[in-house]
Formats: sequence, C-alpha cells, structure tokens
Amino acid sequence: MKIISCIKQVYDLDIVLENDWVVDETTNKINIDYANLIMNPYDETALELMLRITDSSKDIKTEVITIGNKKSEAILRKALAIGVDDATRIEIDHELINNPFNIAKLLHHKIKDDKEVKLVLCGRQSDIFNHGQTGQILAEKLGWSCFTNVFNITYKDSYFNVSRTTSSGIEHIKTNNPLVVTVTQSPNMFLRMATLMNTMKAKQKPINFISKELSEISEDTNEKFYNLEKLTVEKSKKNCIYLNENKNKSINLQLSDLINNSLNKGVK
Amino acid sequence: MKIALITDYNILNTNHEINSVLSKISNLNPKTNNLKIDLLYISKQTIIKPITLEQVNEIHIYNQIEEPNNISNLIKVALHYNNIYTPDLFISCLKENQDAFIPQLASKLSIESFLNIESIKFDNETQKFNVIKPIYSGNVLGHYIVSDRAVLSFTKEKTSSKLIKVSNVPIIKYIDYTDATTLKDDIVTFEKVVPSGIKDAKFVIVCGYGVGSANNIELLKDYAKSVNAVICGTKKVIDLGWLPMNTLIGTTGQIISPDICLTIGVSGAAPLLNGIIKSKLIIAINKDKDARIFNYADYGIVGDYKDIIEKEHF
Amino acid sequence: MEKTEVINFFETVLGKERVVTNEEVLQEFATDITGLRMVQKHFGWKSENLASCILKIHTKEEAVTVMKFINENKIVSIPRTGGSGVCLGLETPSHSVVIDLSEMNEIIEINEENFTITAQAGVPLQVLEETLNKKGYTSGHFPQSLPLAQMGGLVATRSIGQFSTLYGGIEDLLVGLEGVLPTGELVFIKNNPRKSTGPDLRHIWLGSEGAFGVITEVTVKIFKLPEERVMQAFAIEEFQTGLDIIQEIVQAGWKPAVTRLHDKTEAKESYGPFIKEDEGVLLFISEGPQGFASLEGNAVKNVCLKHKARELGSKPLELWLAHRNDICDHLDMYAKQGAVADTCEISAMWSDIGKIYNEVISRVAKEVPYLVAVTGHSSHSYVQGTNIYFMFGAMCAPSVEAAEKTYNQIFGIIMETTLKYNGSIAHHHGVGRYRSKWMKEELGSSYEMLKKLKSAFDPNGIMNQGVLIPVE
Repeated sequence: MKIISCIKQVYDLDIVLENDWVVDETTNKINIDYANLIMNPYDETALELMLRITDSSKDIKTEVITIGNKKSEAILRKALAIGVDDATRIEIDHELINNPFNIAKLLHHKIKDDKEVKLVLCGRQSDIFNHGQTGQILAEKLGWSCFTNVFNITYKDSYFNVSRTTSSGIEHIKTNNPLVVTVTQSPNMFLRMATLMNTMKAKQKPINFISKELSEISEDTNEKFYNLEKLTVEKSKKNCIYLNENKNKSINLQLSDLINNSLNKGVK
Repeated sequence: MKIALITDYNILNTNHEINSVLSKISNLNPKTNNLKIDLLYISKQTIIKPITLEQVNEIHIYNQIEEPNNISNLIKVALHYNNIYTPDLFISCLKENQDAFIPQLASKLSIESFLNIESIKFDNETQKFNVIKPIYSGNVLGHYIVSDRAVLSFTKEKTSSKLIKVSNVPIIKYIDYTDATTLKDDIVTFEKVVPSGIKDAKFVIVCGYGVGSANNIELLKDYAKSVNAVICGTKKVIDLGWLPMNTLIGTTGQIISPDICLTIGVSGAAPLLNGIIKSKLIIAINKDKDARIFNYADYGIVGDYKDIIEKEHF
Repeated sequence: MEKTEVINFFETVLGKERVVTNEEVLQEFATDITGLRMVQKHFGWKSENLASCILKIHTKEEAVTVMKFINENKIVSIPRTGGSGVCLGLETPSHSVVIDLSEMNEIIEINEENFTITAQAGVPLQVLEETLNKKGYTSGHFPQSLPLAQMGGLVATRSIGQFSTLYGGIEDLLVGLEGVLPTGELVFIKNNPRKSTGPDLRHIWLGSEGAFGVITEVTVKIFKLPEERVMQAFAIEEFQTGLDIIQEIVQAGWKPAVTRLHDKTEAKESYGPFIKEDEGVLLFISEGPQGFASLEGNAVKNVCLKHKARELGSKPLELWLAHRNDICDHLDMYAKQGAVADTCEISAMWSDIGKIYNEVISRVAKEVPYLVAVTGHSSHSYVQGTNIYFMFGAMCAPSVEAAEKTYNQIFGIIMETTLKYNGSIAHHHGVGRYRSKWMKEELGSSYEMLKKLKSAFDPNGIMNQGVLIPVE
C-alpha cells in the first residue's frame, strides 16, 4: 500500500509587511518577492498526518509530489529528510500553474495507474490564489471518494478514520479506500523537523522528474481557465476610538457599559 | 440568462441563506438581462413547506432522493438539470459538502468553478461574468473574468440584506428522478458532533495568541459565561490546541457577524479579519498599540486584558 | 521554623491575598523560560522543588521587613520580576520563598531636565518605553525579552538591547538605584552623571541575579527619539569578512545602533530571497540627530563596499524590525515539533571571536547526533570585540529523556570552546544556575572576589542560592 501527499511551494505570507499589500499599477502584481519560499502550511499538516500513519504501519510506502520549477525541489528534499520514501516533481509551464484543473490533471496522470495508492492527501488550499479545489477535482478524475477539511486521519484494519470540519460541526467517518482528502489546519499537528544528518542524506536522494505537456495528457480545453483581470486591496479601515482610564470611570466599567449598551440596542 | 441555485432541505428550512445569495446576485440586473433563476431543491421528503422566494422563477423539486446530501447524488441531479436547461451559472446554497460538490460538478461539465467568492457582476460590454474572490490568504481581492459558464459559491455568512420585491410566484415542478445512488461514498460509519451556536451568538469573544495560554482561555470562559458570550479562537490558537477546531474564526473557519465581537490578544491577520469584519461592533484589546486589529476595530483598548476584563475572573 | 509559621508571618505583613501558595502557581514559578525546560514542560515535566510561597511585594518597607525575616530564619529566597530568564536563574529550591516585585510597577518620575526616568522594579520595559515614546523619548533598551521583562530583572541580569552598539547595555544606562540588602538594610545609590568615589557600587547590583539583595527601584537614562534613521543591509560571502567589516566600522569610531552579522544558515532562513547560496547578511541601523545618521550610514556603506559586500537595500531591516521578537512565539513551537532548542551567547576579543564561531559550528555539527541546526550571529559590537549569539535545535531523540543530554552536550561545546579562546561564557543572558558550573573557569583567580562579595553581602548564603556560584 502506498500514500501520496501533494505539496506545493509558496511564499511565506506571514512575514509580508502590512504596508506592502499594495498593487503595483504597472505590473498588476503585489511585490512580495522578498518573502521566503516555504511549504504550503496546509500541505505541511497533510504531510505530518501521512507520516503519523506510517509511524505505526511501517510497511506503508510514502511519496510526495510537487508541481513546479527546479526551485521547488527544496520542499521535496525536506520531505525526504523527514522520512518520506519517494519524491516526484512535475514540471509545468508557469502560466498554467494557477489553474487547479491543470494541477489535478497532472496529478491524475501520475497517480491513476498506480494500483498501490490508497490515499492521496492535499492541503485544502494554497497561496497565492486560494482556489481550494485541486484535491476535489483529482478525486473526481480518479473516481474516488473525497473528504474536504480533514484535520485528522488514521489507518486501522484496512479502513481509514477521517475527522473533518463542516460548517455545522465535526464529523468522524470510517471509510473504505482509495480516497482523496483535503487537509485543513489541525491542532498540535506541526511538521516534524529533519536532523542535519538526514538533511544531508536527502540531498543525495534521487527525485523522479516528469515533464509532460498538458495536451499530451488530455484534450480538455480548460487550460486557460482563471483569467485574473486585476487585483485590489480593500482598505476599509475604521477610526478606532481608544478607551482610556479616566477618573470618573475605570476602563473595565467603560468596557462593560459599551457591551451592555450594544447588546440592548441589538435587541431593539 | 439562467442561474440555477442548488439547495437542500436543511437550507430551505431557514430561507436566509438563499435570500443572502439572492441579494448577492440582484446586481446582475435581472430585468435588462432577462435573468431567470431556478431553484433545484433536492430532498428526501415529498412535501415541502410553502416557498415564498419571489425572485425565483421556477422551483425544481427532486424529491424522494434517499441521500440528498450525498455528493454523487447532488452532481447527478445537477447534470440532469444541466442537460435540459444549461444554466449560465450554478450557485451552491448547500450547507455541507459544497467544497467538494462545486469543483467536481465543474470538472464533469468542463467549466470553471469558484469557491467562496465575495461578489459577482455581469459585464454588458463583454457579455461575461466577473467574479471577485479573496486571494493571497485574504489579503487581496482577485477580479476574475469567467470565460464561459461556472459553478460557484459565496462566502458563508449571515446577512440581513434587503431583497428587491418583484412580485413573482415561482412555478413548482416536480421532477421524477430515480437514478440516485444509495451508497454513501464508501462510508462505513459516520458520527457528527455539532458545536454550540457560534453563528447565532450575539456576543462573540475571539481569543488570539496574545491571551497567553490554554489556561487563560479557561479563565476567559468563566467571563464569557457571565456576559453570555461564546468563545472562539484564531488560527494560531486552534493550531496550538488551546481551543477546539470548530471554534475557528476566519477565512478557513467560521465567518461571523454578531452584535459584538470582542477580540483579545488578536493581532489582526487578514484571514481572521475576514471572519469578523461584518460584526456590528468590534472591540479590540491588545497590548501592542501598533497591532493591525486596531485599524479595523470600532473601539480599542491598549493594555493587558487581565487588567481590563473584570478582575474576579483572574 | 515550620512552613506554616513562615506563611503566617508573611500573611500578617502582606495580607493573605499577597502570599500565594496555590500549587499550580508555584509550579509556574518553579522555573523560567530556559529552552530545555520549555521542551521538558511540553512533555509533562513538573518541578519537584516548589517554593513554599510567593510574596507579592508592594512597597520597599515590605521588602525590608520580609528580607530581615528571611535572613533571621535563613530561608532561601528567589527575587523575581518579569520571569523571562533563560539560565534557570529563577528555579525555586524546595522550601524557598519567591520575592515577586512585579506588582511594584509605578513609574515614579520622568525628569526631562536631567534626561532620566525613575521606575519601580516591576515596571515592564514595554510600558516604560511606550510612556517615554509618548513624550518623544526612548530608553534605547530593546532586548528580545521586551514584551516580558521588567526593570529590576533587567538590571539584575546585566541585560542588553538590540540597539546596544549606540546606546550601550543596561550598565551604561543605569544612573542610580535603590535596593534592599539580604540583611535588610535599604540602600540608595544617588543619581550622578559620573563620580570618582571609590568602586562604582552600581556594579554590585548589575548582574547580581538576586544573589546580593533585591532591587526595588531604578533610574535609567532616556534619549530623544532619533530624528533620522538610515537602514542598510549587505550580503557577504564569508562570516569572517562580516566580522572584519564590523571591526573596522566600530574601531573607526562609528556606532551604528544596530550592528548585526547573520551567518549563512540564518541569512537563508530570514533573508533567503535577497541573497545567493551560502551568503551571510550584515544589517545596520544608524540613528540620531538630523545629519548624524546619514553621515554614519555613508561611512558604514563605504567600509562594506571596500570589503566587496553587496548592497541589499533597507528591506531586510524593515523585516527585521517587524519580526525581531517573534522568537518568543517559537520556543514552544520547537517543542511541539519534538525538538529541543535554545540560544547561547558568548563574547570574545576580535582576535578570537572568529575562531570560536568556526569551531563551535563545526564541532556541534559533527558531534551532536540528532542536531537539526546550529547557527550564529553577532549582534553587539565593541571596539575590542563582539558577541556571538548561537542558536541551536536538536530532535529529542532517541527519547524525550535524551533531550537533556543533547542540550548539555551542545552547551558544553560552546562553553568549552569559548573558554579555550579566553572568551566570556555569557554576554547578556546571565549565569543563572545553568552556567554557574563554568564560573570558576570563567573568572579564574578573580572568582575569589565574587565569593568574598557573596559572603559579605549575604552571610547566610540564602539569596537566590545557586546562581553565579554553584551550591557545593
């Protein structure tokens, strides 16, 4: 049996400075080139979930796949260093990468003939475009069932136990396989770190490489979907009124008055 | 122009989610564009309560479907409808499963799909739809030109938008559909845990990393109880396991719009802001006077929340 | 004396609510935020040694009464303010008493004529700085612990800030203070710009780590907020080149407030997109009156260019300013990823600092089996030398229990190498209980002076027993 995690290299948006969320008029882009390239945080969670499954079932093989340029091999090496067995990079024309149909198509092409694969994990979404659809489209193409917003998955007695969030609560599902899950954030699920020694070893490991034109894979005409016309940044900032300690009224009294007044107004 | 809304019994029961979608598509100029809105109603029950959605032209009732929440069934029904009417847009008004339903239906139809969009417009010059949705983790809005038809959903939120009166009584059609699957997508067992009503709460307290510890949140829970508020958390707080998953507020969690949203130790990252920005009143407490949250709060208190929230709780 | 008697006495002096005996709180006060403890706590560590109680002191008179009682009854006691120590200096031996001054938190005076601020020991540095900023001043003191630390503790641990190359460490900022000796005498060192009246008694308190008494009030310098700021970053190929550049700049007489050199591993982690593979990064901020900063900035740039450093603009500094204290969030994070991580800062003369850096990095990488990374940066420079701030992380493998062994191994290598090249084992975190085992070697023949000071000030050896000088 084999499990696959699909991972993507993205900009670390957490370090972007507040004042840099500005659209450059000439390029129609946000200049965040100074942000480091990291593994998409949702993919990190998915990868850690995969490794936790194999921690207890050693005979399960694991693989990571990424779609991107040579630079994105950094995240594959990281995955290899923390114990993933195999890594594959699929090359794609940069223009086409922001379309989840293209990504799903390439992943489907890679996964479809491997009968060993019983589970594919994808992060629920990735930056910059946050489409949040790759895993679902992949599942549709494979004809497998699909669970979204998964925060935990374990394997026992040839079933997967999936926990996921929905808008009305949490679901715990015991399911057959094969299946695709899209992973959301998860409490206390941080990607393990690689020792320096394993990082060095991972540098020597081979990475499978696939370079195929989309047209070789299928005749679908959705390659050019998602025509992003422009970007805008909404700055609907408010004029915050600051509460300060004063002689007549303590700050906590001011706060509780504010709360009570607003709640009463709400009732009317 | 034809738009198909897809809904199930859960939603129709509380009309407001459909009304919210109807208000968001009201700017598509129904009159000039000769807009027709159909509602696909998928249910197990035969009889439904009277429907008063006057913007809707036709209601297509696919009833007696054993598992109306099953994604395969939803897709089958949509395809069945599509074969006859070929709508320009499918818009999901589903409560569950729409994250999977939307892209999968789009994939079947080879058309575009957009999840959680903010708004949609129709450009009369190009005769194309324009969709606006958050990108860059909610820091930026992307304006997309839809190439042809599309399947989409709006951000989940509670709104009280006003609807335009059109004085129309929808035509109800019962569809005889028997091709539904009865197997739940390979599910062996299923258990659901429903949380306390965050969406309906009038007063929500959002805890950020700045509250300091899981222990402090326990103390805040006492306070919340005393003022009848519900406690929620930011991504970081959930990541750290200080609060359960179902209390997550933000782009990837719940979008709320209570009468009061009190944030404590929240710095104000974009995904979180998107989750609370529609609150009627935002009060922020943070030690850091430069915290981004103050730019979006109605009232701000710079200081340690332990000194501000009534002392007996700490 | 029985524990209940002790507590009864304190309760009569302070009132019941200011004598804390709740076990959970005692557990929280049993240690500080040392990296090793952070990971151990994450995996369920609990201290076996709890204090009898925590005393919340509100006035200097209370401090005097408490200290007299403690001395008469020979009770080991731990003075404490913000609790942000990282050297186990705040660990409570069993039956000890914590003297917590964090509620003595009033700013007493801002003197705009003499440019000083007087504050009680428990005033958080952040509050002090924000108060000053509102009036157009700054303390010039920005340690990474800024969000946590309080004034008394900063003096007691010989703290330093990120802008120290211009403003100096706390020893350069402290003007006068008030404290209570272990034997109960309230002592006051008046404010003067400089004096020649015997040894500078302030230095008994600076770095005293609670071993010579408790600090109740301090007066520190204030500065005008800078009118001008010049920020510039450079990439360099070799760490030693960076050290040479800084040496040349400070020896030429310039004092860029922020003077930092990050090695290639840190540079890649924080400034990856700005640099080429294996480059280090130099960061400078010059600030001061109009004209001064740009003058200094030019000089800094010229030295950098002369050494073939590549200009990176000011963006890396903007990022550094925004994220410089984020590390406080990360310590816990490493534990959650199953790793033990900490920092260790040492200093040495220009002739030796490069050797220490190289030897530590290569030895740790070679000798520590479960190492994740070891990195270093120089962040506080002087005419005679600089510091290196090592950061390290290692997996808690093969078991969680092994984390302590790994931690000790890495620290051991850093301490050993530093001493080998006559460096100092602690640049600004202090000694605490963790580094005290190296103090004899650190001080050499002058260790005797430290011991004599300790026995003179604290004849019963009760004040923060175990810091600076290990318990034998």
